[in-house]
Amino acid sequence: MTNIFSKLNYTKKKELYFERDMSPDKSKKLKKSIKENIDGVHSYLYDCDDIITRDFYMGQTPKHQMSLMFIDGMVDKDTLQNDILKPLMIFTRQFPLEYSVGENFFNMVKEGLLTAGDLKESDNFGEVILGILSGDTVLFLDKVEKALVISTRGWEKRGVQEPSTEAVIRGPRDGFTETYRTNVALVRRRLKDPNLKVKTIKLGRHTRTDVGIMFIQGVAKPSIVDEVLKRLNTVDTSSVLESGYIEQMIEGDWLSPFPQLRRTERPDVVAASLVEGNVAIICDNTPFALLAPATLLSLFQSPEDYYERWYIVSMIRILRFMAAFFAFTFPALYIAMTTFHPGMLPTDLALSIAAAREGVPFSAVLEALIMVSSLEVLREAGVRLPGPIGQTIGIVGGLVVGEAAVRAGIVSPIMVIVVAVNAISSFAIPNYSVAIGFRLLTFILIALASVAGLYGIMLGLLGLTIHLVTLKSFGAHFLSPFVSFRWSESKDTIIRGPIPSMEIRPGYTRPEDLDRINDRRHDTIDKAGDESADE
Amino acid sequence: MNRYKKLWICLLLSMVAMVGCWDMTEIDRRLFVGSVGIDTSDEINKYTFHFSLPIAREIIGGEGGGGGGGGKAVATVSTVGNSIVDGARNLALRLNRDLFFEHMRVIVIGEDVARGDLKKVINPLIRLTEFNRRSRIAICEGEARKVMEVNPWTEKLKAEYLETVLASTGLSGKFAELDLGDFLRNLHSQKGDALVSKMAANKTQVSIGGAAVIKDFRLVGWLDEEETQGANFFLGKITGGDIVVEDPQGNGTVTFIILGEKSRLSLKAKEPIPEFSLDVYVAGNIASTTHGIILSLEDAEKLQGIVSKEITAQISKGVKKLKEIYKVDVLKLSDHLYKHEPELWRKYEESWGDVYPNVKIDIKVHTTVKNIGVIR
Amino acid sequence: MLTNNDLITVPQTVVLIITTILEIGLLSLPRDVAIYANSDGWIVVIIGGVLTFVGSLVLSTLVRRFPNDTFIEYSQKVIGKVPAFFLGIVLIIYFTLASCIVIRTFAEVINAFMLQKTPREFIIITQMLLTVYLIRHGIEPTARIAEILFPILIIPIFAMYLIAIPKADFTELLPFLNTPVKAMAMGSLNTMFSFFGIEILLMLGPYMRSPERIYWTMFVSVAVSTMIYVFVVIVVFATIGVQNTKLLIWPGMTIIRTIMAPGKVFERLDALALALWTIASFTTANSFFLTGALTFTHLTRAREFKFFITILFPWIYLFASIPPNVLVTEKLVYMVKIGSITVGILIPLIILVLSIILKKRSGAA
Repeated sequence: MTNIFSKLNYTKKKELYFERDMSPDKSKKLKKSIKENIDGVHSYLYDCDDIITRDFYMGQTPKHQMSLMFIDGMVDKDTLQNDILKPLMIFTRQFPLEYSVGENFFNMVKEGLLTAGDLKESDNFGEVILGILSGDTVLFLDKVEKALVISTRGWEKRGVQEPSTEAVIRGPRDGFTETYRTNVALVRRRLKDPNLKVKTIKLGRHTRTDVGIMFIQGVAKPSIVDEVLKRLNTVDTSSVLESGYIEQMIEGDWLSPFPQLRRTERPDVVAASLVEGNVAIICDNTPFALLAPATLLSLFQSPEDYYERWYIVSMIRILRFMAAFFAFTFPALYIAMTTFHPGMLPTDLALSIAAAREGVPFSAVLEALIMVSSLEVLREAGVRLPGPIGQTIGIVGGLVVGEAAVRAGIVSPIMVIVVAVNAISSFAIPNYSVAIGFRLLTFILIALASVAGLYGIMLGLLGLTIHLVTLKSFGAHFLSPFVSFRWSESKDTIIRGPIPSMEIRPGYTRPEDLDRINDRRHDTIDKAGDESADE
Repeated sequence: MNRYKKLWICLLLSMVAMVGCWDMTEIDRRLFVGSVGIDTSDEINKYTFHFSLPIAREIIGGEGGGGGGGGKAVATVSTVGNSIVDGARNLALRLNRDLFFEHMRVIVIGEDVARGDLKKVINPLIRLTEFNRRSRIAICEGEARKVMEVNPWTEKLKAEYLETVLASTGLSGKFAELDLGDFLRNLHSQKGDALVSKMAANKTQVSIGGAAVIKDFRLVGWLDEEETQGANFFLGKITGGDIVVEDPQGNGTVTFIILGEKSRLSLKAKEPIPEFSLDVYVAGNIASTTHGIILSLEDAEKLQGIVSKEITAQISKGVKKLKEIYKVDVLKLSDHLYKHEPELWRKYEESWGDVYPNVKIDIKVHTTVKNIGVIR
Repeated sequence: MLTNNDLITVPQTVVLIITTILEIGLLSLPRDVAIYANSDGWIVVIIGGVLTFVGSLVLSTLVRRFPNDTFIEYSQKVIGKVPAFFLGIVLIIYFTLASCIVIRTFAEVINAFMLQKTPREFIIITQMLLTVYLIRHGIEPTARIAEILFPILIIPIFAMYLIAIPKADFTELLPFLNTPVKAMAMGSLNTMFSFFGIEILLMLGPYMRSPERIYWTMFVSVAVSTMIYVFVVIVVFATIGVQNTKLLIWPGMTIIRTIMAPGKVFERLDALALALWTIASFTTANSFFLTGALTFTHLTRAREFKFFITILFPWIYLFASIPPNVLVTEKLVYMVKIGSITVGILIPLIILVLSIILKKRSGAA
């Protein structure tokens, strides 16, 4: 394989993002002889037994060779047979021979014979081979220096199902799948706006994954779009198997415990964010789309927040923020209050904690660390195991082990409560990555609390605040709208105002047109949309 | 590299974290002091301290409490020392845990200690932050030890029992309710004069009622319950309690429950010596009558007059004792002069000790019956 | 020098100045004014605030006159390079000492009320590390932090003091205006020390987005700080008593020991209150440390400003660790506060007067 790699063009960051296909490069043109072309393809794709070459002939006496090349299992057999093979093998027999030579016949086939929907010409090996690898079918004709790349992509895929990580009670049930085109279509279906732009690039030297950037022109801030494109362009990696690869390669501060891109499985979330001026990155082979820029607030939002009535949502959001606070401070607060400032606790509580701790061999800090880590292990074990067993582990771990540990006097019952509250709180955060980030902070705060009590916790919180305030996600403040606060933006923060009152889009993306409601620019489009709906 | 620097700092901090923990003490290694009683001791300049220490495992019985049910919930230990801090340190020779004062609720001072200099005793209570400024303070008749040995049956915790007894002003105005913070404030703004609750004890319960009169940081005498109520009326501190008076018809008694009270002191005459007038506004309900029934408005008005008279008598009694016998200005007359008539106060500042016993106070009580219950 | 987009808006400037003024000294302010003026202490605070505003006019006028220069540059234009260089050094020493005493006083309070055995050095160094972590990001993030932390600091503190109000006896504020004029004047001058912090304006001029609104900015800053001070002084007087206040080193903290959280959630609030005061001390130390490093940068015309943070770090730590106990610290605090009047009002006044006489302006240079 080394010789193939040696052929790869490793010059980095030279080309533009839209043409980053490097092996084999596009300068290698197709030859006139079909045999040379087929051999040429095979010289790249040798030892690939899943490549199928279908040779056939046209005309009676001077037979002209044609060849189809595709990968078994990646092409849609129906299209291949009905729209390519059938017209080519049956109808061409009726043509006079003069058509069957060179350019003329090539154009005939392209324009008049093939009934497949999507095809394009190519004159180099680069495109041809990429096409074959992507599931397209390539048609070579003899004596033509070009080939036809016919889109026949079709493979076994999962249908559109309800997203499992972002379940809602009220809201659409469709979620992204592993297929790029399906995902883009799911978004496009929700935004019938000519300004919705999709730009596709290929990332990963081996995977050549399709990665699409979606945004609404005139709503998304151009600088953010440029920034996303620029950063994607610098990605030079061997593989992109999931959007997580992209996320980690393009985020600004990789030391931060917080994700600087939002991930979602839901097309409605993507559509809503696009309208708010975000940029979506949709990646092939994964149902997870990325949204930039992310703010702390947006990571705390659930799509349902906009579907339910605003009182309920406001209450839930307040609870969510309180839960988030406890998710990373609760064990630390417990340690600080019991070991440093028992004067803060009400006397009765202090006495009952003291009584519960009597006989526990470990210090409170160690106890907390043991419990928090074992909880993390339980959580991880629960995720790995298949559904029903996972639940069993939860019950066994949570109830049996916890109860037994308390009875054996290894941990105090109050510590079990503390850790349980801490864990439950963290699951109230809608975004899993953020929740895990917060739980990571638990450990740091426990350490700080064990050194200097509440002062230590305060140091930790101040450090966290500094980090959050200085953190930026694609040029937007991570903490916006709380930094440079404006009252007009307060309606969609910790509370969520009634939808008619949310007149402008969030300022962090600083969209070019701020009106969310009374959006005059869209009036004409709406009319057009109505007409099409009548049809 | 810039980014690795952050990591190094994090590492450094976590190393500090491992070295640290200077102030950490596990909660079960502390002994919470619930209340303290202070008595004199045989040694000169030393006091005996009685600490009541709740025992956590006995209080929270828990499921395995069958065996430990017989244990005492509160232990009392005594020690001798120059100050409360010294006493606590002496205890370290005998106990394996740290005494922890932040939950201390009650300070009971023995009569002998109070008759000596209170300044010495309360100094550490102000200086160190560990002492709770919301601790209640009381002076007991005889030795504080007796109070500390009481075994209350209403509460498991002795401190809680003592504290709630001392906080029950809503039930009665017959003692002087105050916490350490108020006590210190009174002492300092009135040059060492204050009224403190008086406490007495038998085996199972304590009784409060009356007040200890402190003059220049020393106990000079007692007020009985009525006098204390009178003084409280004067200061406008009554929030509850009752007054029993004779029936308007004259053939039984009526119990009058006090709901609230307001008092207003004003200066009536400046020369030759200051003359004050006090208006007291009392509102309350009629709780019971032994014989007569209130039938008419006149009866109610008459009753109001009788109650007013009774309260006036109580106030006069208290004021007279404080003014003429003890000569202690806990009625805040000097404070009133200082605050409202600073010019006049400058004149009397030096000689106030002589002027005060002769000051005249004109007392007017205005009583309102708010509610007579559901029968007439 | 810092990048050009490192500019702060008017609200950010206001909050930055308020949080710089508000520091742990607020805890001892009631005692200072009680000693000078007894129950008239709160009037003294108001007069002190007014005097401070008048004093700040000098600074504001300088900012208006030289909107593109810091003190270092305009003093060079007015009095020449060599004297200005020495003034710059004085400024650096002042800002260094100012952040020292803020951090040190805070460590002192923490040691008294919260962590008795924790070494003071640990408290000092952790505070400083946090400060360095922030100010390395520049002026705008520092102002942004102040903007975010200000409500987080002020709302709970207000709430805690409000809990004390049912215990308060407002007759403690009487007699009204019963203090000799001389004592009042002395008290007012002394309160001006509590407003130290406005002198950061010496260095902020070119970093403000709208220097033309400087008068308004200063008015709001000083007015809000004065209101907070008066509120605290009144509540402390009414709750602890004027006479008792005089005895306490940090009456603002003692008051929190006399209250109880509603609903008995917490038995005592002092640890919580102190954790909050960390913010106040932190924001003040930030501003001084930052201005110190800025002064250094402008003085040496260097490009890299983070370097000077590293240079100042050991000095601040050293000076903050020198005083052996709280009494020495208080003396140092007093000296620095006198310095604040010199640096914040007297020196700028001289420069202003000279610049008017010599008709120097920003544009003329």
